[in-house]
Amino acid sequence: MNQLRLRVLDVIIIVLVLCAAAALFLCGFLPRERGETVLVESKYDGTVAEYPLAAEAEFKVTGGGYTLSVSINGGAVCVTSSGCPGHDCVKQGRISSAGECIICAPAGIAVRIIGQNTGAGTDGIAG
Amino acid sequence: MGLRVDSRLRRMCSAAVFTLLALALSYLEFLLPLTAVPLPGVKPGLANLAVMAAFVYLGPLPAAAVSGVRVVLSALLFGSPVSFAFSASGAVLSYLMLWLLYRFARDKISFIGISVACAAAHSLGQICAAGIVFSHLSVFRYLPLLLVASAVFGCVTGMLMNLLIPPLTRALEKGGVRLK
Repeated sequence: MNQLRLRVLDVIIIVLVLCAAAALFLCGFLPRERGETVLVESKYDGTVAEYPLAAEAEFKVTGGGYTLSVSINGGAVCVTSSGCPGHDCVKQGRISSAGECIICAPAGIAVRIIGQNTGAGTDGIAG
Repeated sequence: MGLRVDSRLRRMCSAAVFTLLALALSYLEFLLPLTAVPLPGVKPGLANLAVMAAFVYLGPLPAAAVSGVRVVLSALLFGSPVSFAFSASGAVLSYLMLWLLYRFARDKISFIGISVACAAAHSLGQICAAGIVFSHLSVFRYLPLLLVASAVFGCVTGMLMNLLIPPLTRALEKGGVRLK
């Protein structure tokens, strides 16, 4: 069967995917705005919490039957624990720049950081 | 008198087996511990093995059914409405990529290339769904990580597919299902 041997097109596809990843990764090095505010948004309930990024806070937020513990300290925010199955939100670690976000799909919750200039245009939630 | 089984029935049963296999592989990924793949949003995509096999042996429509039923059942059994949206959009783009490559480049590509392209399309679909659900573009920052993971895990599932196809072909031909 033809599909069993590595072909030139396979290599081209792998290289293209890696090049796209590298290009997008380099775009991530563009200067970022400093984060000012942490928004916790639920797909089900809208914005459920808003804190200054400079604050020291720990709180829990629930969505889709799962509870997430969110911690803000040292100018960064992270999800410290979660009842969701994949724990992808915990794996995303600490974020501190405007435009960065942590998403928990099972809970339908996004924790995101906005800056002074990014706040107005991006604070809507679909649905 | 021997039992004569209609070939449509054989194909329907094969599609059911592939769906069950896809669902079982999805559940296996769901059970993977936190440390197995320590990167956010990254999964090996083993269920794509069953969808690709269904596409190769049964054709585009049964493969679409296998993929669709797998996504719906996964969401009902161990997902949520939001994860269903992510999974469904990823599955649609992944399936379209599989269809395009198999339709137009079948003789120029192996399962490794198909698998990598499908994994990348799945990642893009998931990120687009996340962007739509949460109404902002910052989720695209995760795309480079997901694309690199797509290249790695796509190669792995493609190699697995290369290994599985010969014995699977023999087993299905014994059961009266021929390669599409």
